[in-house]
Amino acid sequence: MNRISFALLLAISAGVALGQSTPSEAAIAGKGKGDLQRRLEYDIMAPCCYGAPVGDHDSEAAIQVKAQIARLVDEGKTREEIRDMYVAIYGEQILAQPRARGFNLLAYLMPPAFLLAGGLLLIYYINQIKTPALRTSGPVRKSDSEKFFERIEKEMQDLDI
Amino acid sequence: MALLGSTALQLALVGCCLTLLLGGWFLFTRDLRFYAGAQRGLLVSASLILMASVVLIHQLMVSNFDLEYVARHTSTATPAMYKFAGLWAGMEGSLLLWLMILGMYVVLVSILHRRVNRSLMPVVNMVLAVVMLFFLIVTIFFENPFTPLPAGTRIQLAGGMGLNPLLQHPAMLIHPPMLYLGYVGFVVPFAFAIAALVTRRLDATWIRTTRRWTLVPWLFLGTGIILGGRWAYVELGWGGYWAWDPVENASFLPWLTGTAYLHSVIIQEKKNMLRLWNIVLIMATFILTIFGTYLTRSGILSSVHAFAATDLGVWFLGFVLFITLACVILVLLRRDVLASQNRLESFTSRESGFLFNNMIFVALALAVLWGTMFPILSEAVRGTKITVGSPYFNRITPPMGLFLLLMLGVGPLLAWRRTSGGTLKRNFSLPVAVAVVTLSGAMLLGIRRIYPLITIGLVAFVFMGIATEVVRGIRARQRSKGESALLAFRNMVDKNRSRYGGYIVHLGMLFMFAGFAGKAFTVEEDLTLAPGETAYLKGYAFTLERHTLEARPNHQALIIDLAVTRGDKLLTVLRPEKRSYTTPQGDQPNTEVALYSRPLEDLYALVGGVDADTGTAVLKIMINPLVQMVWIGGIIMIIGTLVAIWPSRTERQLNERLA
Repeated sequence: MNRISFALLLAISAGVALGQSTPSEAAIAGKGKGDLQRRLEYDIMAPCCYGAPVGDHDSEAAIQVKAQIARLVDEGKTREEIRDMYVAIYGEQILAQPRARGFNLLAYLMPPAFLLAGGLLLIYYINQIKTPALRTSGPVRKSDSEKFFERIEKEMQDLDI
Repeated sequence: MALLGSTALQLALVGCCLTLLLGGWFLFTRDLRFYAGAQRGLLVSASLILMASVVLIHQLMVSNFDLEYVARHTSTATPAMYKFAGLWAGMEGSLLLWLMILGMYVVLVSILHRRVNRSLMPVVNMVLAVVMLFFLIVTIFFENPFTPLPAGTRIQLAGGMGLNPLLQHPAMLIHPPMLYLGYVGFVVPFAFAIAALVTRRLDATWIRTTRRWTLVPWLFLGTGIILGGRWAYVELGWGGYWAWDPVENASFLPWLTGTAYLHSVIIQEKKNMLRLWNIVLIMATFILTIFGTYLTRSGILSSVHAFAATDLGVWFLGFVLFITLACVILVLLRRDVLASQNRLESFTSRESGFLFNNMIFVALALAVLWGTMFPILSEAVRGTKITVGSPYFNRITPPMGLFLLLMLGVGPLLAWRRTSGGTLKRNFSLPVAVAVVTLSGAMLLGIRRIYPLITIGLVAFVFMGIATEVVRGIRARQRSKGESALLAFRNMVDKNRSRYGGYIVHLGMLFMFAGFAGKAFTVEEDLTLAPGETAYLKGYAFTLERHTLEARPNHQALIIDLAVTRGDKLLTVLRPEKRSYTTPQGDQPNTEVALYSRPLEDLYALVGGVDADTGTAVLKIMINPLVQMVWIGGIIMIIGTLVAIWPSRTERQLNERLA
């Protein structure tokens, strides 16, 4: 593997590693509420429709959950404890993203695998084909269907269809 | 009138079947009269569909509640412009809109290809007819918009159920038709790809034709996505514009593969390589549009866009499988003509840059598809429902997005075939230096978060890369032609519209990425204010002045007057609303966002409610930095695409001579 291939592979791996860093750090930082409370508001889906995390939802149910989260955080419960409480009530669907364990680990492994596999395939492909250009020599024989469609093109031009 | 619409659809179905019969007979007998018949059959079908669409629009506008669709999606109180929007408010109307747009594309293709690509047209017409036939069947037999209202429900629906309040926004008048123009439009390059494969004519003409026919729906889909983002931002009240909702993802997937195709097709144009890859991309793009329609309309995934979910999913899934199978068989049968005629010579070439960019686009599309479908997969395997929401996608996609941003800058700085070490140093030194200086500046300003920092550095790098390319092109023309800088720029763009249109699109992307980075610095606060009370946030003072109740034609609005000052200066009075729409099923609440956009940040206010006794209002205030960049970027992208689509002077002259 040459230096450029190595550098590209390294860059892709760095990107994959970056993608596995803590979720939504950027999205949740810099907001007015406490970090844990805000984090939890993006961990728990609105139980009315499961369409958005409660942090992005303003239904009655979402407002209630936000208030509960604030209370539980004040009581000193940890993030994991609060998440477990909601899973016990509503099931796993209440979590905004699946827990990275068991079968659900695949949810996190596959996207970087796509990127890595794509990168490796591409590096392999480019290394493979860095050979002199392949050109066909001599006249190319036309197939029957090519001749047929050329004849049609000509006839259509004649008839102006 | 309703009978006219229904009959028009049925006749269109007959016309479509005739088109396929005559077209097939033509391919069998090679008798041109059958081809002429098939083409006319398709045009007649398209015209009949357009007629049916006009009839439904008329029925919506005149509130003919004898039709179930009209009664379910409009009411006498619905404003006229939203009665028109009722066309895409439900499943039946949406399918008719699909058909109507397909009909428009059919007419356009017939006109524009009267004299060019004639050998491809018989197969193109047949592919268009197959797609039209499928949509006609599901519309007529399963979701007919001209179905009369069943007896007994007339009284209940007498005044009409009205349009979903969320859809009563000006963006909803444009966003869905734009998305559909994009979705449906991808059928045209797909049809040309199939025709090129069938006829073995994978030459330069096919590439030119499909590239332009891909740009058109790509432009519409991109515009539709941006408008949808704008609608979500101002209507849904969560301060964001992209929620990674399954339906949003469904529209993003064909955009990603379509974008990959628009890049890789350049290699085929220049180097006659990647024939198979390009065919696969254009096929995947069309298949993803049907798959997207399946996701949107089947209700298989929970979505905020579930305005029109029905049990048609199995039909769409069947159609997706049918097209996929047909495509695989055709590609296998034609693998001999899909082999590349040329080969890559170096890693450090523009071709390699395009390939890497393609790899990331496709990996990103696969990642989004994987995340979107994972709840179904997980439920099938484990029997437990799970959610894959925005936090998951916000974790998975940014690295890939940043890779794309990097390639946006690297690609244009590489030379075709091979870039020597000296050229690499010369081309990269200025953009890299500017990126490093910008990054250092951002760090000095106190920005420490990794994604925004990388984005800022890359935006500077890509911008300098584009600027260097443009300046180099202008100087070259000035030297060789002696033109002024302005004239040189104009002529340079006109000579190579696709390239410079592409650079303008890239510039738009830079604005959008800057906007995405701004999301990391959003400030949000829930406030409870009594009249006359003031709260302070990020240097702004928010004073609750008053709240009023206002009765309007189809709803009642609770309006809050929130004065915003900075220092001593009154900037604006924000007026968020809490509305209650009156419908036969009861009151439907809806919040209206109040927005004040400044060049670098948006002030965004929502009202939760007002305590009747104390008059205290519950408010949510957000300060969203750089959101304007997203919309400005979107407009620049649209301009860039129009530049790329518009024919150059030489092409226009050629067309005039042909006409």
